[in-house]
Amino acid sequence: MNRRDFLKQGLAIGATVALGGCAGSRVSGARAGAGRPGRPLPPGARPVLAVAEKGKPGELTRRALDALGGIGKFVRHGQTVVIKPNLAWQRQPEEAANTNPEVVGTLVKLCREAGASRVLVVEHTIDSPARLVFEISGMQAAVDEAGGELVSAHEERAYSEIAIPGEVLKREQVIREVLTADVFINVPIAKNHDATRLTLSMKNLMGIIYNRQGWHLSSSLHRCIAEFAAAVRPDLVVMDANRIMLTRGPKGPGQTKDPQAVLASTDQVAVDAYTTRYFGLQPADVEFVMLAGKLGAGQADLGKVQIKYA
Amino acid sequence: MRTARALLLLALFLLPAAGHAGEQALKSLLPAQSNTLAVIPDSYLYVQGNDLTQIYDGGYQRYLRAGVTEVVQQLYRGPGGLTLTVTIHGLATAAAATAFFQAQRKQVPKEVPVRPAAQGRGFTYLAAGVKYGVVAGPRLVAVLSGYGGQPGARAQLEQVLAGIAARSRPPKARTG
Repeated sequence: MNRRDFLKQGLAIGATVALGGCAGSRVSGARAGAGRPGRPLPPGARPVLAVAEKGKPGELTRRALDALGGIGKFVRHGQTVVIKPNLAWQRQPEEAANTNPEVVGTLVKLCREAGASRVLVVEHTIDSPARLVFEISGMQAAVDEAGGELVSAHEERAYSEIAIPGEVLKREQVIREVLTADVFINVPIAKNHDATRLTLSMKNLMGIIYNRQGWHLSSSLHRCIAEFAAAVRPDLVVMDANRIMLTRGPKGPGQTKDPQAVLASTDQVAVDAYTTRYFGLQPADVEFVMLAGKLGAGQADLGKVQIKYA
Repeated sequence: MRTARALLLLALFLLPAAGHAGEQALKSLLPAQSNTLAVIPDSYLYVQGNDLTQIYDGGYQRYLRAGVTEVVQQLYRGPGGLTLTVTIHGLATAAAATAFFQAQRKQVPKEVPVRPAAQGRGFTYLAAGVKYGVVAGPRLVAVLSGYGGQPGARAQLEQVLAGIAARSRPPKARTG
């Protein structure tokens, strides 16, 4: 299915869904748009996961992307790129609550070097005001220096409603820039999470919806995450596991560990499945990872993933 | 019958307030704006119950389990660009507040004693790594996070803790 077909299908679903959504999500009768198809693999192809370990965050980011064929494989001249870090908290980089700014800065720089006309780094922060989160996390300085734009998505008008053909999720308001960008890159940090055990790439997508509380109060947060990940797929995932938070996530402060790793793949489920090992866990230990695999959002069985150590 | 119904309605009206000190009570413990501490605009929050997600996102359940019923939060700018987050948690009992405090304390990798002036009725501490301080009063726990790394940051945190501790002293025991 190409992007055009995916959009058409989404519009059709939107026209037929009357009611639904997670508890608390806004429901309207208006026609909803579609999510994103990501980069579907040809039939029979195995997803590739690049793993770069031992080094500095920027260097690891470059190595991981090079192992996938370079940023030019994803970003072309004149395109708009949206990057979604995990940038929810007023925390400094060493606390491992937010994505390392060096990883994001390097990625912005690579996208610009590949000819991107605009690189937006967007976040719906939890701590507020957002400008303070951006400052304390070091992200504002990193993005400015790399030639990107760091923007906050706090206003409801920044969101568009999409249809989601899930059991629990029916509609969701999503940051419009994510839906319309030529390239969408999800750049999470790996960390402990009180409600879902771990925060990984798919959980980070909660930061592109307007009403997060609706998911927290729903019948199954794991299912919400998995269904959404199947509907809104990034073109590329770059996982920051340079320093990970082991306890008291998602906000901390908690105990940390330094795996010094950056992972990259077009398959979000494979990235999340692999990352569990840095916590001494298996993919099956994180419910949304397995659910997402079953829903076809990616490959949870690492035996069926081509792993390239960069 | 009419009286019983009136009492029932009154009870239903008062029920949601049970276990809550109330916004004003918690808000009154926040430091006031001063020459050395400026309130950051748009940073005030007061939440109850499930709305703790607005502060802790998915971590909110841990706080509910610990008995936190309400939270007030305000951010400040201190000298030299120091950023200070003051979060005051309301709990139903002193025992719950103490247990909550101890659970938080265990997570702090390095504990630094604070000067006596900052000590409240319960405990106080600062962790050097994250400049993190807590004071436990009879029904509350205040958490402070300071960023800036200036030489005066610790003194500023201690001063704020001392102020909260002083304001949170319980009224003298009533008789009868």
